[in-house]
Amino acid sequence: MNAARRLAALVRESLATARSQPVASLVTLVMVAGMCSTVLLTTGRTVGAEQAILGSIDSAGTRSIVVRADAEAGLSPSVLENLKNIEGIEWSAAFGPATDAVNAAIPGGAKVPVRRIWSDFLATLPVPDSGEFARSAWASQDALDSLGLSAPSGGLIGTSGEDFSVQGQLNTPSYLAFLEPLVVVPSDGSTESARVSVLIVIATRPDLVGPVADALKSLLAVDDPSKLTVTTSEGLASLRAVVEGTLGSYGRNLILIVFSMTSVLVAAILYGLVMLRRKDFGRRRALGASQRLIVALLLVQVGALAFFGSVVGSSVAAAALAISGDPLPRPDFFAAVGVLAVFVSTLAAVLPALAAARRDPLKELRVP
Amino acid sequence: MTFGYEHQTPILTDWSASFNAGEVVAITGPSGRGKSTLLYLLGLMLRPVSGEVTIDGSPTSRLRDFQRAKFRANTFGFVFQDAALDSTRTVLDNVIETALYRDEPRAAARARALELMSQFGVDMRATAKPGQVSGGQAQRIALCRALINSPKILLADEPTGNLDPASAEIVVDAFHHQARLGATVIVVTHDPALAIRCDRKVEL
Repeated sequence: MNAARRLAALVRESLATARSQPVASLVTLVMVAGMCSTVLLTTGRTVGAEQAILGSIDSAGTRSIVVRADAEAGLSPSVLENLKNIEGIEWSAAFGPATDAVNAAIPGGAKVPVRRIWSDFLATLPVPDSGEFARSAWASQDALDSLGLSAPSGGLIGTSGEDFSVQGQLNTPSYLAFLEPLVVVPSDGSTESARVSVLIVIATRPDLVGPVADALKSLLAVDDPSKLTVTTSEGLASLRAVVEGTLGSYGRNLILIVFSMTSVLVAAILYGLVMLRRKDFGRRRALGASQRLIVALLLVQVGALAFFGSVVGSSVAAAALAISGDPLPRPDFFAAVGVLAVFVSTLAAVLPALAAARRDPLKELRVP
Repeated sequence: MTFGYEHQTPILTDWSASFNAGEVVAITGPSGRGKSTLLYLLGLMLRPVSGEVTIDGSPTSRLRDFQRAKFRANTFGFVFQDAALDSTRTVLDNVIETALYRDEPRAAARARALELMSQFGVDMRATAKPGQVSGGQAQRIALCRALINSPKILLADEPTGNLDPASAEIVVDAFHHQARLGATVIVVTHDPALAIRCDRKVEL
C-alpha cells in the first residue's frame, strides 16, 4: 500500500470514528468554533480597529517626505535622477512653481494653481508619460469643480498668458491632497532651466522615512540649502508604531489566553473520551494497531474536527462583525486564527492520544 | 519464560511449551493461574520479564512496538470472551477493522469479510450495529474478524464462555477447520466440553 493510500485510509478511519462519536465530536467542534469566534470577536475586532486606525494614520501620509524649495534654492528636476540611488522609495515626483489659471470659457472665473510635474510614476495618477502632451493638463475633481468644468475637458488660460488643454482627470492620492485643487502638466522633458518648488517622496515603509529623508537631504544639490524646508512624517510613523505595538501586544496576549484555555479544555475532553473508550483502544492494540497508528488516528480526528470548527467559528464571527458594522480583520488574520486553532487543538490532543496508545489490551479486554 | 507485573509475585515462572501448526490446543487451569496472561504473552501484547516467545523459530522479545503490532495484524487472529466489538460501528466495519492495521485495501477486505460472514450466517447483519445482534452472532462476527487475515496462529480467550451450545459448536468447528488449513489454534478455556474437543490440553 503506498503512502497516499495509507494516508487516505487513516483519514477515512479517523472521520468514521469521529462520526461514530457524535457527542464528543460535536463538543470538540463547538469548542474550537467558540475559540475561533471568541478570538475573532475580541482580538479580531481589535485588529480590525487597529487596521482602521493605521489606515487612517497612513492616509495622513506616514510615509511621505515633502521638500519645499524657494525659487532661490535652485532645486532642479534632475534631483529625481539622484533619488534612484536611494533604496526604500516607493514613489516620487517633483512639481514646478504654481501658475494660476482660469477656465478659458469663464474669463474672471476662479483661479486654480497649475503645476508642471516630473515623475517616473505618472501612471499611478494616471497621467501619460511626460513629453507626449506638452501643453496638456490633468485636473483633480476639486480643480474641475473650481474651474466649473463638468467633465475633464476644456481650455485653461494662465495668468502669464500660457494656455493648456484639459485632457483628463487626476485621481489625487492622499499624500498629494495638500496640493489641492491640483492641475498638473506633464513636463516636456527639458529640465535644465526648470525649477522645482515641491518634491514629494514616499518611502516603502513608515520606519524608512527617517533614513530616506537623511539620504535625500544629502543628495539635494541646491544653490542655497537655507531656502529648502524638508517635512517628514516621522512623528506619525512613531505614533503608528506605538498604536501597532500596543494594540498588537494586547491582541497577542488575548489570543494566548483564549487558545491556552481552549487547548486545556480540548485535552480534558479528549482524555475523558479516551478513558470512556479505553476498551476500544485496547481492542485496537490487540488486533494489530501500533501505538503510533492510534496516536495518528486521534490526531487526525481532532485535526479534522478542529478544521471544521474553525470554519464554523470564523464564519459566525465574520457574520457577527459584519452585522454589527465593526471593522473586519484582513483575510490573512482569519486564516492565521484558523490555522492556529487547528494546530493548538491537535497539539492538545497529543497527551490524550499517547494515553490511548498505551492502553493495556489485557487489562481492557479481560472480562471479570 | 517468566512474567509478572512490577512489584507483584510472578504469574508465570520458567514456563515453557511449544505449539504446532495444525493442532488445536486448550490451555486450562484454575482462575488466577495466568491463562489469559499467557495468551496475551503468546499474542505479543505483553513482553515476558525473561525468556522468549519464538514464532517459526524467530525470537520476538526484541521487536519494536510497531513490528509486534504488524505481527499481530498479519499473523494472529484473536477471539475474545465478550467478542469485543466496537458498538459504534457496523458489523461489517468491525470485521474489516484489521485491514487498516495490515495496510490492506478496504475493498478487498470487504469482499472477503462478506464471504466469511456468509459462511458463518451473519452476512444479513452486515449493516447492523453490534448492539442489535445476539451474543452468538456477536461471537461469530468476532470469529470472522479473527479469520479475515487467514491467521497462522489463532488465539481465543474463553470463546464459548457466553454462548449457547449450538453457537459454541459453530465456534469449535471453525477452530478445527482452521487447524486443518494449517493454523495453530490456542484456546484458553474453563469449559471441559471445549477442552476435551481440542487435540491437546496444557494445564497451568
